[in-house]
Amino acid sequence: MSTTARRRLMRDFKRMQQDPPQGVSASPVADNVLTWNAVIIGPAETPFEDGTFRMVLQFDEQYPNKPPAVKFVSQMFHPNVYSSGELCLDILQNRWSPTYDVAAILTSVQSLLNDPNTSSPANVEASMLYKDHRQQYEKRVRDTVEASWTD
Amino acid sequence: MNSDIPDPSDWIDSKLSGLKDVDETLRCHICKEFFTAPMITGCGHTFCSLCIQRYLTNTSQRCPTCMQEQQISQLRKNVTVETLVEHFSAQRATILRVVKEAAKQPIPEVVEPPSSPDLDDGRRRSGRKRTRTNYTETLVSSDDIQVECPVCQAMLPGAAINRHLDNNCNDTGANGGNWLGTKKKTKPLRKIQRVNQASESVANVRRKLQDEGLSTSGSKQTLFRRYDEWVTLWNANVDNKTPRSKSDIKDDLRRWETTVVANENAQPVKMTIKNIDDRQWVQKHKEDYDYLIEQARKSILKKKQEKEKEQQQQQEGHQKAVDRREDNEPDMKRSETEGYQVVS
Repeated sequence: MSTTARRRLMRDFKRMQQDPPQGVSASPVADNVLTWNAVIIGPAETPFEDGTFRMVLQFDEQYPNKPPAVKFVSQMFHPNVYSSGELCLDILQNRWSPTYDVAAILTSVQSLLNDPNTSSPANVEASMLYKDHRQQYEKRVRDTVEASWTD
Repeated sequence: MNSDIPDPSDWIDSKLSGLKDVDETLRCHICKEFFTAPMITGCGHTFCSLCIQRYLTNTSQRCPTCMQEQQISQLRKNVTVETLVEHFSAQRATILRVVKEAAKQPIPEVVEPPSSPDLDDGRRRSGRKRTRTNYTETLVSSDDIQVECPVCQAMLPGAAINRHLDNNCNDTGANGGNWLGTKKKTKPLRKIQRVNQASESVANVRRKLQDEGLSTSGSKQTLFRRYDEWVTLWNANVDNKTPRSKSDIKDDLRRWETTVVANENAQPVKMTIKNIDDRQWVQKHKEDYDYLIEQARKSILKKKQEKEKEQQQQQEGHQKAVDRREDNEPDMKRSETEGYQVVS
């Protein structure tokens, strides 16, 4: 049935096909427009460069008034990503706005990769290494980049 | 799958790619459709009446664009935008078709007629030929803008075209729409008051629901929410230039109950996603992900190429400017010396 949420998601999908932001892509799974798969390519000139990070986005009928749940299904090493792959990102929680679409969500996550927020870390170890031992941090990130190629 | 959803990105790669911004500006930032009954907030942002009322009632009392505090009582009709949307959406399919055809052919088929007194106000820049077609005008009378449905070719007012398309062209006559041409004078619809859950009794809300002919079953919370949504749907409909019938709005309310409300009892999205086994999921969707990776890589390449092309063009432009300056320089020097000589 075509509901407000589903129609909006079809629209988001069209936008992702015709005018995708650089280095991200996404599409609903075959039988359910409320569940999406997405990929973010690690931005150039960052430790995440060329990583192929896979994600899942789960929407409900309240979208876009409520944000989707978003998580990485690729292994991540990042101060704002929990070991479960779930993200700690303000625009997906208390700073969500119904004006965002899938393209906006993915661009935000993409820019979060190289611009972590260490004030409330989801991964304490990643946050500490990022702050105090940047080389070790980058090494760990590179490991996840390589792992992402063989997912 | 997507061809029935008009989107600003339709203008990309056409000869009028700048219309993408116009197209986008005339859309609600919440539903991304062309505005239906546009309302302007106290902070100057415009949304569909239904979208913004629903958001302010259920989610947050802040403007979705600038996060300033907002109340429903501050909303005002944005009549100019409503008219703009009407005109633009009435012409959109035609303009798009014309510019897409023009993109295929190096020389535009439609050229400006030798004289067009209606437009020639003397301000037109000379030297640049503008193209203009008359054939949209055959579809449009100046008074009551009639447009042709791109799907079923029925003629209907521009304001009704979106709903008509949403209903898969099935609405003609089915619900006795106001746009059918019979210009009946109807009583203006009145907005209804919201109820305050803290001060209103359940019995009162039940009676209000009954008066409107709506279901009175369910818990106290269900009754309040049902009435709240009814007020939202109804008042947004009143803001509509061509309001729909009460039974249509009742259908909308029923749909809301069977989708939004029914799904609230389903597993929250956070849980659904938590329960996904990453390894299994990635394997099951391997083909999907491989395709998405290819697409994402392509988008990087495409943007890179666009950038290079732009830089190249800029450099060429710069080179031309340098050449021109060099060509002119001897003259300038001469005139400077001459000028100097004159002064001395």
